[in-house]
Amino acid sequence: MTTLHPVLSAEDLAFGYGKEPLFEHLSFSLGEGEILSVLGPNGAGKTTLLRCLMGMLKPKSGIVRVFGEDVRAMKEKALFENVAYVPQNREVPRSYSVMETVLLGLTGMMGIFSEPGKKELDRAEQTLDRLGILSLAGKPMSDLSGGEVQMVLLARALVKDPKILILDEPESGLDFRNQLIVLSAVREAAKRGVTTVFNTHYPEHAFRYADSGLLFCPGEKDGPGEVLFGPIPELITEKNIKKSFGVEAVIGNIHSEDIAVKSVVPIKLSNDKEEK
Amino acid sequence: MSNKSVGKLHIWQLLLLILFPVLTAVVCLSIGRMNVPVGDVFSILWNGMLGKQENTTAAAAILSARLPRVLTALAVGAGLSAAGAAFQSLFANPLATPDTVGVASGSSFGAALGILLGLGSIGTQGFSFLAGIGAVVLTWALGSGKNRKLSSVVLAGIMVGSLFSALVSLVKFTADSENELPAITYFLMGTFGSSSFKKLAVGIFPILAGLVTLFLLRWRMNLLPYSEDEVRSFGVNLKKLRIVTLIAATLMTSASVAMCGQVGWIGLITPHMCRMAFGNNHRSLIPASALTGAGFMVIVDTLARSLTKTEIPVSVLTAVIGAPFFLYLMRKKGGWSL
Repeated sequence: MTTLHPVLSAEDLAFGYGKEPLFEHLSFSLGEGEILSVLGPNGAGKTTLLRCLMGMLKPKSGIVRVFGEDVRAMKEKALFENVAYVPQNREVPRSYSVMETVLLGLTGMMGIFSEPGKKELDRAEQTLDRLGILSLAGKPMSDLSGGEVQMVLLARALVKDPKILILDEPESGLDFRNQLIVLSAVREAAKRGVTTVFNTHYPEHAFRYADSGLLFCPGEKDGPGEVLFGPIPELITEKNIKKSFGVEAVIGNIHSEDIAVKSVVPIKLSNDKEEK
Repeated sequence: MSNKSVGKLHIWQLLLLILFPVLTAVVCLSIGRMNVPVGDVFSILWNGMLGKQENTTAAAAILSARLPRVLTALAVGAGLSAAGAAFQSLFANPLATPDTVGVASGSSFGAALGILLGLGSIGTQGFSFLAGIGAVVLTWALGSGKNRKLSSVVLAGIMVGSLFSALVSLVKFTADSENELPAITYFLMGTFGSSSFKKLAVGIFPILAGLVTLFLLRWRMNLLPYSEDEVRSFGVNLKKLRIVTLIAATLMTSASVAMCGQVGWIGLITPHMCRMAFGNNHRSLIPASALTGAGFMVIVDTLARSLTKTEIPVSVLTAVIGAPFFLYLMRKKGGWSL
């Protein structure tokens, strides 16, 4: 689908729970299949930003657009036909089966009184198959490992064929292998055209999986911080990491036989105050 | 995909679930001070439906005394059990009951006040029903709000519930100890003894409305234990779903208490039995709870009216049967989750 509008964009967005804004002057724009990673220290407002992007919070100023339409003006049912969300909290009801959990992701697209039928079942099976976890379909959620649960939640988000996928720290709390599995699946979805935003605490993952990034840099005391936006290699520099996280870090290249990856290693807390 | 992994009942499970209350009702109609053979029960019912009055004492006992009572027990059992399942899921709490939101205490207060004021059976029933709804409205108004968690509704409900319990005590305290006090006490312990077609005709509608609503929403109710943002991202309004569920469960509970007083336990045990047997998907949980609860209630009431010469209060029996049974299931299954 070619449109004049970017798939997802934020224009001069500002948000705060109290009087002071948590962040302001936040802008970005994403095309089809692009991946944006959101980085920043704990409490900087990453999850808050995701909720703003989905229209769940009202920004102080600025506007979020999905295909050019203001998310706050859209009907939620219509908005969430295009937007899917994988929350950070993976505490899901443990007694439902994997299949039931994935089917619930389609509820909003079914009639109020309808039950999932063959069409929904087929879609769920296809999604599970594409993610390589069809064999889990009949298992109860309580039998799954953390990595498997996250894959099921990804399936629950992707089952409605969204245009936009929003993930809150999709790889946190998972082991190396599962981190790779989950993030590769996210990248596969993006390759099929799903525009993706994910929060992460791993700058390496931004290097490896994202096209562009947002970096939250906290301001003085309670004042609003600065949010940097740009392509990853320009955004994630030793200087910016110091500014955002207050640590001295070294960014290096690591080569293996078939792949070269960036590595970001924090060395020590930075002592000097704000040298700009 | 097997039925179980998508939460559907097998056809034979559904058949058994439907047969249970139907057969129980017929058998229980035959039991009483005067036992009537089951075959005769069928013919009496059949003739009754055709409008042919049999002038036998058996026909009189069954059609005018036992039938309204059994039908009321069926309705109340189905209503309280489905409501119990709904309250458990709504608050994601295995111990949630109608009193979590104050509805049972509110209805009890209404009934007690109705008896004290001498409103008559239908007047008392109406008063009780409205007081139950009033209690829930109060709970919701006090406990819900922007950025409030559902647990604050539960806290408000407990407060409202204890307030109404205190008011019940106050009513009892002021009641005349010759007639009103025993009437209030006896009613509140739960009894189907005062069932009549007239009372049932009034009380059946809120129960049916609640049952139909929950049955239609059975798939969507599976979203109740999820977090608000999650459900919102599916394009579903969780708040609306919660309110509709709460209204349906409240209607059924207060209509039940208004007809037969407080019948504890059934709303707690039946849904848990069904969760263990059929899983937590509301597609099967709601119909299974309603049907099992209906049959179970009829059995308990039949025991209540025929075990001894004087009637045993229903809530005493449900507790005596229910608590050990519940503990047995819990220990055997090693607990459960919602």
